[in-house]
Amino acid sequence: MRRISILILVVVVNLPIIGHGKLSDSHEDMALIKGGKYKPLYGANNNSDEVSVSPFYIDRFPVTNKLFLQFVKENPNWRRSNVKKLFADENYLKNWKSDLELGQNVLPDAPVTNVSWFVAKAYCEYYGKRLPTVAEWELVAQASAKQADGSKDPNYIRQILEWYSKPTQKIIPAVGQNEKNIWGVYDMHGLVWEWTSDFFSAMVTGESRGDSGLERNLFCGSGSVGASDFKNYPAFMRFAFRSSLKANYTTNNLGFRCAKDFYQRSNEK
Amino acid sequence: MKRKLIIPFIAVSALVLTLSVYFAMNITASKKKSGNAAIENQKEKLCCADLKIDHGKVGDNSIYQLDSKWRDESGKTISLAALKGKKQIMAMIFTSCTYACPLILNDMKKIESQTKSKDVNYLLVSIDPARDTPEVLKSFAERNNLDLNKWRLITGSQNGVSELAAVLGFRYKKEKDGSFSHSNIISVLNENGEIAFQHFGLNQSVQDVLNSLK
Repeated sequence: MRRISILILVVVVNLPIIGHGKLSDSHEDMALIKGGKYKPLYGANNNSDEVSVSPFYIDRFPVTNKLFLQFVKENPNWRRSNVKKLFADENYLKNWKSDLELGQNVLPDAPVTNVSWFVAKAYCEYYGKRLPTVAEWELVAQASAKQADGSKDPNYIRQILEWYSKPTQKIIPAVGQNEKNIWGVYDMHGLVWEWTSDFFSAMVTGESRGDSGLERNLFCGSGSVGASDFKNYPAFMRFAFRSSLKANYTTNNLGFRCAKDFYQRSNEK
Repeated sequence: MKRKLIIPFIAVSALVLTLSVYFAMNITASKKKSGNAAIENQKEKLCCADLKIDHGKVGDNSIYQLDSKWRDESGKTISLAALKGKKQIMAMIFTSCTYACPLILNDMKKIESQTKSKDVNYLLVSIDPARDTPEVLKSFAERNNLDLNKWRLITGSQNGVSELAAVLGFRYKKEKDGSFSHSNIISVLNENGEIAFQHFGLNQSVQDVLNSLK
């Protein structure tokens, strides 16, 4: 009887440690997002339009100049003078002083900007991560400091809109200075716009095509018309912004952060 | 009796606790190591895959710089760079598409019938790798009487599709019913894989594409 009770005690004492051992991968700089439902602004069918998002990790901060510098040091192909036009346009890392120098107006701890989708993707892959999907990014972005879903909170929406209406600062501030959201993630709003892996799923076309509207003949499928939430103005702005992007496009207020699957998946590549 | 038991009881469980913390930390450390090893592997893979592409031979804007692997309708593995040397008239489609893709195919066949040059090939790229296997592509080609001396149908990975879509400015999105919303673009690639011309939309004259081939 005593032995049994000792055995039970040993197991009970060990439970949290065993559990901890299983979960403690090195993700200190990433937040675990439980997953959930994300309602896309456009493109889903009728009312059954929610997208389930599986649990995933996301960087707590946008990737900084300092980290990105380390990446280009280790990956000469992605230095400013070596990059191919197909993968990044002429403004790539324009605000840096040179290939491997940030210069005076670029804070090491500020988010890296003037980066293309291709290089953002290559960066994440180099560190065993990936870019977040639109659904994942939006799921994290809708969390306020107190709620997982702040999209119905007028104050939260107003806060985001206030940032959207401000011009980009000449010297972008360091990451992590604003309040973190309920997941412990910083700067989803307020610093820079961010790349997503499937930005090209936004279906409003740019003016370069001569068709700023939604035209049946340009898009196949039933999903293109009909927004789901007319009050969420910031979401419209992000949607419109994404739909104007091209993969080699770089600009001074567009950066990125990486994500990672929670569940191990077989590699698609 | 009960009191006597408590001391060894605490001693034993403290010992066990210490041991198990030590053990758990070891597990974590070894996990970190193997995680790092995986990243190292990935780094190696990325570095060398990058090196393998001969950037010198194609231009800065050539889509043949993409190093994704594809399979054609015969099941053969190819890279996009293998298409070098001939002009390509290409579109991204999925074979179970009922509305737009047949119209795009129709436009491409129209172009084919009005083009005499032997230096022009036709390429269909599936955006639905899960369902469009080489076999499915082959039967699609047969069903639509595509001359496989000139036409090639390829299918790849999600990653390869998204990169190609990204460089072509092609937008797509998988819907819940398994179909795709997508833009309708016929692209003309020159011999080096640079985009020479793009035709947007459906049911329009293809004269612009024919002009671009001259």
